[in-house]
Amino acid sequence: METLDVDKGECSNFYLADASDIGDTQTVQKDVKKTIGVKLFEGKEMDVHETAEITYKHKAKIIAIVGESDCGKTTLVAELYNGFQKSPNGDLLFAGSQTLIGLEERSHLSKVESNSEEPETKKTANGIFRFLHLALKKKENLRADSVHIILSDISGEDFQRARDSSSSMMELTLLTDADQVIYIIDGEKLAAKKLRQQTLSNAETFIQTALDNGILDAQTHLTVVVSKWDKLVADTSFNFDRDVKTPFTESFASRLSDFKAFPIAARPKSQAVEAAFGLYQLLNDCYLVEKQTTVAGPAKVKSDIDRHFHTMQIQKEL
Amino acid sequence: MSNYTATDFFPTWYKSTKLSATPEQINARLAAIDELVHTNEIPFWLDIIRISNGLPPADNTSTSRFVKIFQDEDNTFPITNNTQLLKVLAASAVCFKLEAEDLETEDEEAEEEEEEEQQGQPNDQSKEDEEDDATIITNVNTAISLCITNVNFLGQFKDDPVIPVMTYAQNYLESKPYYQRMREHEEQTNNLDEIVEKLGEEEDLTHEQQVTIVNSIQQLHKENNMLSEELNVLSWIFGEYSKLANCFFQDAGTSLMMIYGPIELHEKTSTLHYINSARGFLHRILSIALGSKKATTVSVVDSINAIPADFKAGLVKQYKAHISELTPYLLAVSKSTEVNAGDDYSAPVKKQTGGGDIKKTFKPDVMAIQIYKEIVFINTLENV
Repeated sequence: METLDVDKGECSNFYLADASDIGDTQTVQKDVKKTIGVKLFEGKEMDVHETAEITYKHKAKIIAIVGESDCGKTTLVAELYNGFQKSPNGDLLFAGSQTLIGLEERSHLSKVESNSEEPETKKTANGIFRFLHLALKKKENLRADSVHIILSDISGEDFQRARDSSSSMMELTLLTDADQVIYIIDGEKLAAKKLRQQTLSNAETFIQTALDNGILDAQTHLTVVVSKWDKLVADTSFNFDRDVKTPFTESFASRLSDFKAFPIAARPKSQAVEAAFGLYQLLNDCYLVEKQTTVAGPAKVKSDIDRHFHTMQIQKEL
Repeated sequence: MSNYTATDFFPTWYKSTKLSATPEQINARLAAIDELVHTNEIPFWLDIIRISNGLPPADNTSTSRFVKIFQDEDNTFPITNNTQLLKVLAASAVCFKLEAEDLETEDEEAEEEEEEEQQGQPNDQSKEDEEDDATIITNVNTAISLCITNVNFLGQFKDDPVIPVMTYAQNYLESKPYYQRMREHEEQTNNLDEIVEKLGEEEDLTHEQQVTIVNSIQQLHKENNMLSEELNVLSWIFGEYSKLANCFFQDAGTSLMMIYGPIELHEKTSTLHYINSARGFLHRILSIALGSKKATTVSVVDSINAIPADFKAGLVKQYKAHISELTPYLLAVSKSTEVNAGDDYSAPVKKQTGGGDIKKTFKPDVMAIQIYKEIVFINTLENV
């Protein structure tokens, strides 16, 4: 990304960068008092500093997507966007994106590069959160402001490290700040009977560790989705409610603000389920989610009990 | 009392607008808010409340002035595409302002004691100035709190789930008038005790002690007025007679007492200013007015239609200078006088309030307390 020195107000197609965003450009840092650091957007996926360009302007909802390697995190993000290009996504309408190129890259770049017939999404890079932006509107209320959703996924490798170590888990503070956390369980692994228990156990371990370390808490909206539902739908030995929804709800729902579980098939490879199965429900949840930050309640100036004792104290003195 | 202050919560509030906020940025924003909190210009604070709700400020320069305060502390502060950032900072600044009075009072008391110990005698002039400042801050904060609780009457804004501005305002209104009164009472008793001890000695009273006696008499006079006002209110409610309606509450009915009740209550409590028990008093008045009939909800439009035309005109004329989107009910009354009887005026109200719906229905006592708060708010603006 290019960083230029431009006088304030010279160009309309820029955003003013914070000093932290331009830390790698020595000249700009030195002269930061004389000129304003300016970044030009490429429309690719953003890093955490660049998301401010959206969050400074709009109220945004942060959706964090986690799951093991190859569970379908990136495919999910790509198909949430692709859905708008194929057909109407229920009553939700696409209202823009600051990361159109990033979304396109996730969706189709690898297909072009590999000349593959089937789309294979670009995998998430290790060690960093990357962010994609979607603005949505509802058909019935087009005059209302768009709802801005910032989607973020982490690489399977980082996720695995966090699951196995509390110190790595503490690096996932984005999950605490996220309005909604989507945990993806790989449906393909659940379809393989030998891997089923291990996969479910891994998911439980991650959520348990995250709750124990305060990464997920009573304000978290957690959605557990089983991906690649087309691989499981005909499997009579697997029952979604019995094997996933009920045990996870019993174990975790009471410690979270909201817990949901349902199956999805973002890009099914068979006719067993319809394309983008479950994605509308997921996207609609992202659209509607409202995180209540009770920790930021006010210092209640004087409680009724304070008042009572204060009165008693005055009466005593009098 | 919670050990946590707005400063502790601010990083969480700010994170809703920037995930990657650095400690330097947080400190720069806090320094700017601290600067802002010392401002006691009500029009500027009302514009800050407008900014926090996404409404256009009444003064065109308010936004740039607000931005400049933050820019002075951090020259990378974004000056464009910053609507949400300004909303978050404006809401945060209001919380800090409402909290600041208590913190300042506690700090000032501690500092005063220290100074007195060091210097022996306190400075009369500076003490008087401080008392004036405290009154101004109280009035500014009362106006801010009333404004915040009034502005969203028509339900056009969503309550912020992260920054609890409304709770700060409600806490302030619940606690402040009571504590202000108790504190004055306490100070007056303590000050007089010292003088009574001195009277037994042969020394003359100092100027400071004479001022204390005068202040105590003034405070007693004020306290006496407050008690008289409270008694008048109780007698008025016991008598069940409305001077404005020129008939008993029950004969006037809820539709009229919904508007006459709060106006008369405010007229009878000019020293008490804002009273917490207003909700209870108004509920009682409306219960009497209702008689044996069944309570029903009423829309803003219907309640305004029930007000006699000449009374509406008088009300608008009296408060015209301060009627705005910050007083949604009175704004609707004002707009109703600008159209012919029976014509729809919901569109201009909706436009000015940022989406307020005057066809929304409320319980009569909710409507009455809103009218009371709007009138007290306007009177606070006039008295500062």
